[in-house]
Amino acid sequence: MKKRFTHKALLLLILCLFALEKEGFSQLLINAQLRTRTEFRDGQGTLPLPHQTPSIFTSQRTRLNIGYGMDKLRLFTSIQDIRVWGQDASTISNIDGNKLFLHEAWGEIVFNDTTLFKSFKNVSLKLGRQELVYDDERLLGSLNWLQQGRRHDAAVLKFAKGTWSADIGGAFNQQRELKNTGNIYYGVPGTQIATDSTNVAAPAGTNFIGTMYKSMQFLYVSKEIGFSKATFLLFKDDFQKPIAGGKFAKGTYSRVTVGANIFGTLMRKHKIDGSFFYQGNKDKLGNKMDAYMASLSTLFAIDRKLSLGLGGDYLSGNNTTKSGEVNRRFDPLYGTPHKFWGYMDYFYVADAYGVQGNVTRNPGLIDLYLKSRYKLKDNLLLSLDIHEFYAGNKVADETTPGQTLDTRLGTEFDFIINYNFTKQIGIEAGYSLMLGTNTLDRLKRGGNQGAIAATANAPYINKRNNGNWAYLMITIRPDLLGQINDKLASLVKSVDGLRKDVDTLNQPK
Amino acid sequence: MKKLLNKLGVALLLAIVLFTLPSVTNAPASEPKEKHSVIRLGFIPLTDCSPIVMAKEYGLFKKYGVEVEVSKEASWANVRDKILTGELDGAHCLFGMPFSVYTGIGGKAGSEMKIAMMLNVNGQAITLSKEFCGKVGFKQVNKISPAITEKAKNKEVIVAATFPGGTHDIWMRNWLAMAGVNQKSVKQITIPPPQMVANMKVGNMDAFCVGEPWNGVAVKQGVGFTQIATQDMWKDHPEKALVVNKKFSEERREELKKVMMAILEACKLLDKAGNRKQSAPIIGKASYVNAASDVIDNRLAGIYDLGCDQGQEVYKDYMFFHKDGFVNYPRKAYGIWFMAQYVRFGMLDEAPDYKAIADKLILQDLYKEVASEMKIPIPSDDMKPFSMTFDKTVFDPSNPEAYLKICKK
Repeated sequence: MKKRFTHKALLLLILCLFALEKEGFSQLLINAQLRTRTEFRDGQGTLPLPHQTPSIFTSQRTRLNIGYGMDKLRLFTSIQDIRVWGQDASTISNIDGNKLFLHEAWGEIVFNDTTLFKSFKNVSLKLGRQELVYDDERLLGSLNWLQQGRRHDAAVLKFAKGTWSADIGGAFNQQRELKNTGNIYYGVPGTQIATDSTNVAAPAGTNFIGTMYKSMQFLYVSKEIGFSKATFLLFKDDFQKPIAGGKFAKGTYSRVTVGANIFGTLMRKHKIDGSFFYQGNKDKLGNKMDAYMASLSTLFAIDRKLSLGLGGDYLSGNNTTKSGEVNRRFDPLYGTPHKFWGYMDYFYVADAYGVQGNVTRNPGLIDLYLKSRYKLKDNLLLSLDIHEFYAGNKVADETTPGQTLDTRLGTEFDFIINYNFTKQIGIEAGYSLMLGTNTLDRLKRGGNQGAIAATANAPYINKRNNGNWAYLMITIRPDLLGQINDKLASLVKSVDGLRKDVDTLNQPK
Repeated sequence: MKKLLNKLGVALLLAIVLFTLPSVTNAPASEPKEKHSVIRLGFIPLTDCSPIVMAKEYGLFKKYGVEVEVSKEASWANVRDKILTGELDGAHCLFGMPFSVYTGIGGKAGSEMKIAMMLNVNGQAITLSKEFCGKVGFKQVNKISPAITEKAKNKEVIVAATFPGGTHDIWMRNWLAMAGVNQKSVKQITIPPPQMVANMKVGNMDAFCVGEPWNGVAVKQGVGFTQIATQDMWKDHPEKALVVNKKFSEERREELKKVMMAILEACKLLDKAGNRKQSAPIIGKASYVNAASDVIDNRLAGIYDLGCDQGQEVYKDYMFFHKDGFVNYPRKAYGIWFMAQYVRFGMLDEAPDYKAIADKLILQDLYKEVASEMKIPIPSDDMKPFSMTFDKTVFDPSNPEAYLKICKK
């Protein structure tokens, strides 16, 4: 009797687990990511000074993603911890540097089935901390390369019908809960690590170079045409008006970016993408803005393993021989610059670029590139990119008033090996070399380094004409729910066996 | 007391099992439906079941005023039996199956399964096990025979298709003939599509011919590689059809027309690349094909990761569902071609009455009626001579005998 009852209880338990798996887990997502990246930096971001020595470190990102979908609602949370190995005080320290934070936490309300939106494929409102990822991530992206990634606290209303889709989004930032004290946003001013390893206050910018926007609004529309796609983006970000002493006043300066992309496919195998964006109104400092970006890139499948592509990007900038208040430097918003203007991150990332780092004295960028991809094995991809960089406008020679410098900035070689050891384990290694010119040296002297030279009242020290950078990145992506499901499946599989046992026991003897 | 406890235990168990059972089956306990009110359509987990599945998902059956239930079937033999008995009113089916069944190859001779319309062209492939990696490459037909001969020295070579006389069986036989491999030198077995990869993994066969996504899945799992796609053998070949129960086609003709209209509209939608991309995760659900949506998406878009370090082939001619009506027209010429293949490969001892069987099984007039109502062009190429892409031999549907004299066997 006892044996029979035990069997029955076990059967019951398994059936319940099976029910839970089918009903509950079918909409549940649990996965994780552990990514370590060991970097050798000898000129990453900026050319090194002759006396500087290379650095090596390992950074680590650990993410736990949990998502759940149910009728008319989706929820997703991504918790991450970002740290550099050795940041703790000691191996037994209980102060871990507080690097744990929410990368994403959003809920999405789905309205599809309501009478009003019945004819739409999707109508939903996504609320909360979220990545804004559109198109090739040139202007709005997750910046996945960076261990901490990029996210926005925003609300996005999404529509999809047929091959059309549209998103309307907005955000309004405050540094804390306020009470009758107005809405001036001070944000959390960022800092940069200067080449002498000191922290320096960073100017306002969009890539962790300073205070965030006070608010933003955007409209994104896309239309799929066969295997091609055309998209339109209107993005307005508003910055609190700065005043002297690092303080802010009531009101905002609004920057408006508008433009379109075409992601084309030729004969199914070849890709031709084009973009044009204009940026106008005011920059965050109140300067008039008049900037644009144009891009054309190709990728041709030469055979089943090799693809080659040519392309060019133009991001406007100022004529630095002239003074003026009009900002002609195109800012690539909140995208993934690492994907575009060289893996060494010399442009539009943290390190200053321009005459004394002044935004109205930034000559912009021309990037002509050759890209190649070779799939050596099913799980092994080699890629080599070569970038030829030029300033997008005249560069003043500050040491010889009235003279200009050659606009050529340098050549960057990026070589990457990408190997998928298993479905869950990826290994990526890269080596990059920048062969820079004197002009690049001059334009990378902004921020702290310029200040050091000025303080010492000494002439600039010429930087080295080359920079090196190498990394090894290991990514582990376990599908935790998959593992649980596998376990449950094997439990469920044993139901038949147990059922047979029960039947045998219940048979009259 | 013991008995009472035992009964109580059983009652408790039953109560909880009954409580959880609706969840287990993932289907609400449905009330018995009135016979004939609901139309039952079956499908096999293959990407080309998309027109039926997406007609359901898009709500097109409702739009045309028919209530349709779709059901996942375990094998083509199952589909055959259920269509013949009327348990299914119709199904996503191999175009060759009705001819195979009627001629007695794949069922009881004389059993009628009616072809209402075509669902797709292209999108099948032949996968070789990884044992042949490096010995035979993509589309290297000349290397197949030596590799098979080499393998046969140690172990019998086994090739699999999905149903005797079905499309996959005929593509496999054509592939062997093309490569100059004697049909009798290899063992030919039948395996249901979703079980192909698992069977190859455990070494039950050396090659199989099946529809997507299973060739793509075999590549992704590292079990085998794509040796050739069927569109390389015959560009725009007929593949799956909507095959219906005879009685259903006769007694519920108007409802069948509505079903066809809904499916035709789904076919049109599926030919748009954007819609295809969005349909991949739906088709990939456990209740339908139960495969990774990236594999479905890629192969639906004609992007084939070939496996065995061969890179990626991008097709311009891949699985199509409509092509402005070119796909959906059920051609008698193709039916005759299939029956000629049965004679060619010795599956039939003597030639059947090709035209009479094609006339009997293909509901061409019904299709024309539906297409006209929907203003879909009707191709005018039926019963005209044609040839396959790889085998340039011309087939004249009015004279299959002439073809049989010259084709490779």
